[in-house]
Amino acid sequence: MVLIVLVLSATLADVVVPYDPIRNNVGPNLEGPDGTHLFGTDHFGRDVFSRIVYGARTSLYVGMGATLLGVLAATLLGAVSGYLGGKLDYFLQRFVDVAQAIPPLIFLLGVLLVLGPRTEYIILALGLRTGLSLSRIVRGSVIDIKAEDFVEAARSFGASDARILARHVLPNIFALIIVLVSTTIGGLIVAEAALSFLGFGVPPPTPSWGGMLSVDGRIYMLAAPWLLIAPAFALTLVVFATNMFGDALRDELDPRLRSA
Amino acid sequence: MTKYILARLAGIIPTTLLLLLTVVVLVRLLPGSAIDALEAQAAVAGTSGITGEARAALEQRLGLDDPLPLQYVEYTWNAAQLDFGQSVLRGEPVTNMIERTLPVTLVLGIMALVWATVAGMTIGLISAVIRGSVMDYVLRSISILGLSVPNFALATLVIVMSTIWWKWSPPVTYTSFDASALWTYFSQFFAPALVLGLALSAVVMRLTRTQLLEVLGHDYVRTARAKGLPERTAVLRHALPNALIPVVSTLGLEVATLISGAVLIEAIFGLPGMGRLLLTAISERDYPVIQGIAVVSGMFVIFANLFVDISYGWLNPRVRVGA
Repeated sequence: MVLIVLVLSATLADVVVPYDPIRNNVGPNLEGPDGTHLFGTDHFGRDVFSRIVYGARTSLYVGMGATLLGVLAATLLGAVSGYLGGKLDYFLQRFVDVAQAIPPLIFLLGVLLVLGPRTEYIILALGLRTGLSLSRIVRGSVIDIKAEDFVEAARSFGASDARILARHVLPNIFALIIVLVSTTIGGLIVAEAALSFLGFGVPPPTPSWGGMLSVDGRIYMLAAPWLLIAPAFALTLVVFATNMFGDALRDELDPRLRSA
Repeated sequence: MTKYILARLAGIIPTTLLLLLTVVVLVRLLPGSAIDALEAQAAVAGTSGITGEARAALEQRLGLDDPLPLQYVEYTWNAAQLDFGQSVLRGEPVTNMIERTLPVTLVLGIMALVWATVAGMTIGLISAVIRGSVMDYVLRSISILGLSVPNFALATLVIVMSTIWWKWSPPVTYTSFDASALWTYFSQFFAPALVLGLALSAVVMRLTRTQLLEVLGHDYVRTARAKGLPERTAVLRHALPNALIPVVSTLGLEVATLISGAVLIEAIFGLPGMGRLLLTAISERDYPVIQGIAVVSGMFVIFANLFVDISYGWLNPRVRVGA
């Protein structure tokens, strides 16, 4: 339900929103919530409700983009590493070790420092980090499948490695991939917000919930608490909804993963 | 067992070397060098910029004129002796800066870890015992909620709400450690540690619950019940220790997440820890400091996982064989 609202507000933002989210002085500065400005206005007189709605677009764009990129990278890396094995596998896995050893935020800040602040680079950095972590799970699953009889059978018929991967291994990890997508997206929406919160995320004036929590809100937090409460609740609600959804989907598709 | 520990210890060497390589290469890839940042600062300060010979001398001091492999070997050699170079802007050894800020992060992290583990395991245990009841459902929903609240959003709300409702706000200034005023010292960590540990406690709770439910179905627990042991003893003495093994290994993996969280929490609550040092260093483009922090926190994660691996082998002898 929350997710439907999220997707709708992200896609239909232009229609729903009463004011331009980045236009200044559509109302008085720092005005509390009332009928004309549902969630009040900020210090530039921008409508907070409009910014929240547009922020959904940012969250969804970065969250979805990074998740898809990450899971795609994880599938490729995990499948190749797990299927081929040997030295290549050892080498790739040490890389994954390192990526997991550096705390995620430090890794992301480091990569963004190299690339510079752009929305696409944030997606790239988040996707890269996620891809490396998740490739472990895909790899484990591929190693299991590799030992199955039907893979052996395909090989005895003379099928090439590429064909076995595409026709026999990948279809069998499809459910896992769907589960990874649905359980990852919430965390990545938070990650984008955290980066924006620290000022390394989506560059202003593009509305982002994380950004609204930091520069916009913190200075005026006592005079205008609505500036903080609106994005904080929006963020929590959406992540809560995606996590619930991810959980349910996981139980449905893959009962073995229920333990996590 | 000794062989197992040695094998695990040897296993961290390639990872550590690769970690250092990543850190060295990453800095080489950076667009603006640290010297450019210094120059920009000098321009703001109104002093003359760094040019010609001075620039070359500085590049030499930072080792930026050496070929990459040499830089790597030097950095690794120095890092092995806990020397991470000097801060470009302050001239202070990075090791000193980390030594000064690390205890703050450690106190915060350990407090968060302890409360999250104790609370998570206790609630997970209760939830498993009363499984299927309304209360169990409520506890599980709360845990997913706890997992979903981004810690920086919660931290901000905690500060705002407590100030508005209870006229209480976290101390603005940091009190350094003083053996005679332990309460003042530790109490400033309560709120930040509570927020930092929340998500982790939810993870621990959910895992404890599922693991316990699985173990409760095993034969030895049935035997324990069958020989007339009270339910309490069967759960606490026979089921719980086995259920906690995977929980412990998850804690090791969560150390990296905890350090990430500490960066945000320290910034919000104004604690002068390593996370805040990192943010300052990033905004000042003080690369040796960033490198040092990345290496130190990376080593923490590597050692946390090593520790988990070893305790895992100790708790569960079956794991040792494959090593």
